[in-house]
Amino acid sequence: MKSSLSRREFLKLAGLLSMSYSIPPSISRASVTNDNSNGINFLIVVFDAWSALNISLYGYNRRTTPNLERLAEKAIVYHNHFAGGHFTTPGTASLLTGTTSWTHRAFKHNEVVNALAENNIFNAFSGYHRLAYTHNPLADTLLHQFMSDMEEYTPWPDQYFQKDPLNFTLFKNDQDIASLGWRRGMKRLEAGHAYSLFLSQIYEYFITKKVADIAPNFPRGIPNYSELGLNYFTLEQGIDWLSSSLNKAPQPFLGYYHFLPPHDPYNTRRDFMDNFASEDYQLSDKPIHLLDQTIPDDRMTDNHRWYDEFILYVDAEFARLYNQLEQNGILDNTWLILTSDHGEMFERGILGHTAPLFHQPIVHIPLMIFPPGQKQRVDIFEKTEAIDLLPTLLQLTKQDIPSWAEGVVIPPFDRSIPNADRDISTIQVEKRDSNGQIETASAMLVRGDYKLMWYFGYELLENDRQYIELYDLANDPEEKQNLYPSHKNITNELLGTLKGKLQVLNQSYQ
Amino acid sequence: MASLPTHVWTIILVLQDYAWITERNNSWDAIGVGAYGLLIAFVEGLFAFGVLMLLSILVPKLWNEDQRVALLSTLVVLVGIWGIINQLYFLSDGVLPASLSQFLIITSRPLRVIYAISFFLVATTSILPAYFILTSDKVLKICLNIIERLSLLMTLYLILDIGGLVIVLFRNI
Repeated sequence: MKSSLSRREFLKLAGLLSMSYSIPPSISRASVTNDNSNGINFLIVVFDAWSALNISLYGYNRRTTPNLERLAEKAIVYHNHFAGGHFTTPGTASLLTGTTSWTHRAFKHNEVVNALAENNIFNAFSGYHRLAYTHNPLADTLLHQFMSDMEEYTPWPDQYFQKDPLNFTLFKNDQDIASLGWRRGMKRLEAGHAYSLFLSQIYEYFITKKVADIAPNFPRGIPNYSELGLNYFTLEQGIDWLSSSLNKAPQPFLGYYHFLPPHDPYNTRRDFMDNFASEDYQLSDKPIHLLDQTIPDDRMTDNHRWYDEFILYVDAEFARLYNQLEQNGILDNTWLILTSDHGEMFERGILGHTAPLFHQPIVHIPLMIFPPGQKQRVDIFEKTEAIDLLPTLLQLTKQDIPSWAEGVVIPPFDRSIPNADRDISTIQVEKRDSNGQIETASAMLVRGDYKLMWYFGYELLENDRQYIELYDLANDPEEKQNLYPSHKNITNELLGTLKGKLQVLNQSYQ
Repeated sequence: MASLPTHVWTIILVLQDYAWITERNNSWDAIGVGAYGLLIAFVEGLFAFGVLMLLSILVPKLWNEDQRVALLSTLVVLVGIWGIINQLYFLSDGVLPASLSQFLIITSRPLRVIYAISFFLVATTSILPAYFILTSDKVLKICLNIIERLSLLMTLYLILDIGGLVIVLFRNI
């Protein structure tokens, strides 16, 4: 760790000080009052699997977010925001609990957080009217866990056209597996095969008929949660519902709304389809990863374009939400936070976000904060992460930050010197042995400009089933040049930290 | 017999799904998905049985009971097998054998040829067994023997269905 302030850090600090003049008066008001019911609302809007690297606001060369670029003039834009994990469960758990995956330990589908159930953002805002909804059943598992800390919890099927009512009435204590069983039993469309030979075809016929009116607007298919198949929704419906819910909600409120797009399948709306088809775009040439899924180049290129075109849909619908909230006056006293739970990857032979990797397309996600009355764009280049949202929002209402919260108050709201050497780390545990000890896992540590990724226990890996990647993010932001093992010292330093954290985590499983 | 194909297919797919669901969640959840699958298979078996009962009204009384039982049982199994073949096509990533693809390319109307081939195959596999069941005592006897043996297997499937029901109930308590 550096002990003195470097020239670079000094310049960053100087930049932050000058930025403080652009903070709107409402922030100052929030920071001087000790009353957490001062009429300030918080609305967190999450779009699932949204990589910052595919957002033109952050410099992506396809213009995927024209509306966000316009709205950013009234926002604080965070350029180095990190997700808490590589998929919904750990990513959302970090955001909602303000703890890293080392602590919350929600590693598998539908796992609940391992920390105390009351350690969550809803509990921390106890004086507020708390509302939450997600399209994503995995995130819903977490919301369900925190349900007692909310005034309005809406189950995930509510905003889908097809609700599979049996699963949510008859099998409500086993929703996930009942849904999965129903999907594998009755939904042939997506995978092409289901347990049922005859009933599945009859069921499909009726469901497809039900959404026939919407289908023409979505030539690639109506947006859906691919894991469950035939569960259709539209963002338009979700946005309109959110807007009307907030109109009726008592204030002050804390709302958490987690929409599925641009999560796969990338079924964009007709008006955005093929918007980037004519562009001669080449995927970045990066080395194939050892945990690769061997995705052919043409499939990767097509999916990448479809993803970008799906982001156009997200961008347009977010702008529509913003306009609605602005028109009905909600934004006058509401802090609007826009972010994601994790990113999406189209490189190294890997498509999507299911592979346990932490490359930048997966962990670099958007964060924008729209303070009420903000007139000027503020750009923050300091490293921030999902766990920071909870303490930052608490700071804005001058509430005590609980000791269990592991994040920090982020610029421009903190008054301390931003720590350039701040560690950002996460782990994904894939398998534990019979004694509970971690056998297979991926871990990431970012310190300064360096980022280390450590994989161990995977059958695909040779050399003691271990693989290490080290990148210099400042000089190699695309992570093309693996510096391990040429940079032994820094590797050992970062690896030592990760091993120490792993030891603590293993002890907690004993 | 109505639930034979649907149970066989369910069990094959449940075994195939076991690994990825265990990886996604855990082995108990993978068993849970299988249990829901067996319940669906049971309901589908009842559904197929209902359809068979309706069809039996249409079968001429001219044929004796053994012939009717053998005929309808054979037909329902054949329909099930064709249903399985249809899904197997997707399981193999929808790739036709190269020789068949080549043949379809040569014909100027591939879709019509596919329908014609499918119709020919389904008709042949339905009409021929039906014909032999109704005209040959030997085939009828063999068919009834097979049905009798498979009926024992059905008892096993029924036990599995009950097991599935118990698991589903246990998971939802």
